[in-house]
Amino acid sequence: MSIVGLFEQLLTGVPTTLFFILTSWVLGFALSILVTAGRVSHHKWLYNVLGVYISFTRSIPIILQLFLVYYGLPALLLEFGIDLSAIGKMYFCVGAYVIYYGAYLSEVIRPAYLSVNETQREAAIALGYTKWQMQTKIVIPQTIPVALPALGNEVINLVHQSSLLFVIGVVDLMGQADEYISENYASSPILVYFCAGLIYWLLTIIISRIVKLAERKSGKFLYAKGDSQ
Amino acid sequence: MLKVDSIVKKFGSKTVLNGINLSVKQGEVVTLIGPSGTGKTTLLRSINLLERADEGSVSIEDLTVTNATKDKKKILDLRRKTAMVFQQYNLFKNLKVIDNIIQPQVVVKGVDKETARRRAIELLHQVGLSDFADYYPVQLSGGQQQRVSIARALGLDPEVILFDEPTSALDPELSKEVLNVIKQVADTGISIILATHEMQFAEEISDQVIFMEKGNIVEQGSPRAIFHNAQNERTREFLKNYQQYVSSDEKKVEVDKFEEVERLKVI
Repeated sequence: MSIVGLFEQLLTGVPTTLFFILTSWVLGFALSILVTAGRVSHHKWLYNVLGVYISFTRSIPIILQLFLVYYGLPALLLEFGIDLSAIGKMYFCVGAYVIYYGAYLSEVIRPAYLSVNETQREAAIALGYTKWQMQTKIVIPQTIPVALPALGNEVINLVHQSSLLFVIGVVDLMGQADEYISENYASSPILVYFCAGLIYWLLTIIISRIVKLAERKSGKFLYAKGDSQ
Repeated sequence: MLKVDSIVKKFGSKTVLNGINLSVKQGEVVTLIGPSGTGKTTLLRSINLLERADEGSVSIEDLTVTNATKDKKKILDLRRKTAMVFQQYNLFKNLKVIDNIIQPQVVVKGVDKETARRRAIELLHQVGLSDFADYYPVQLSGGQQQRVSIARALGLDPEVILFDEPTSALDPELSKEVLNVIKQVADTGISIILATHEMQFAEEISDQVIFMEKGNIVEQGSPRAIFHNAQNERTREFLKNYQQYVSSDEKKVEVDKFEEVERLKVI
């Protein structure tokens, strides 16, 4: 077998993997902001309802949730006469991960949000900022650098967990590796998996570089030198 | 110009302000003195509407907010006629010194950014910190941070600046820097309400001194009347003990700090 041919085939799975990571992360992140907003809004019932969702989602292995959404949801909706069979696998996958990350990331964002000192909010209000101005100009800019390292870790986590998609037959990077092995059954599966691993490694390095950059940029005030306090 | 009418504030069952009346004329410097925990800070916060009073009203010029006022616009408008300087400075950590002065002007007053920047440069010059424009607050000493926070308040051109023990967290040297700046501010003719434990400064700067205790105004009058000719027994007692009180209190703070450091070392 040719190693170039192997990489060529593996790389055809990368766009699928990247598409999956990007959409689930962006949508999951958006959902997690809504969840966080609900959790810090002082509505007790909303806090509790979302608490149950977060607890449930974070306690169940992602692969099980994937199965529930991919196999369970269509079966359930069919009972009500809604047929989902025309919808592609990828949508179910993204759906399952968005639900998962919506809960997961909110537990990263919420503590970061709450870590912003009450006196900072008070100063803004006392000077005549509206609540919205206080949030957007003061609180959120101080939340971001605190949340970023953990959010970055979750992206990398997502890269790894995306490999689970091949279990339900999505042909991503991992799926391509699997296909390559079955098409060329003479070749060494270990070498194929190893090469796929190298590509995952590269993806992770690139992503963590981007996250580090964002951390530096948003957290300048945290890393300012010459702290006199 | 500013009028506080029979303000009552309770935290749970504890009455912190027990019907306070106060009026401040244009350009007047009013100093609140009295034991800690007596309601000075709560009074300032009630004037700024950070705390909403349970009874009574606050008026600045023709704008009045009572305990029953629900209109958010009105509350915001009144609040924007005041500016607060906090004990712990509370500069915005995510903004450079200069942006701490620019942003409130832009956000609160709708000034365009260039004008706000020019004003901020002027104000930094006025408080003697021109060289620190591009530093972050965390890089400054406490006294410097407090001067920036005064500049931030001045940028808003408030009718009245509320100083909440602005030097209590500072050593005497840094306090002096800040007090000099407050004096400058007073000289510009802006109205000031100042809660402080700096008696000598209060005597120097004030037009009116108010001695508060347990949520009540015990005595008020000119600095001369309060500091040298107090009528009320309690006022005299407080002022008489004051020098001792300060020095032992400061020692206590030092000890607390030392203990804190030792404790942190253990952790």
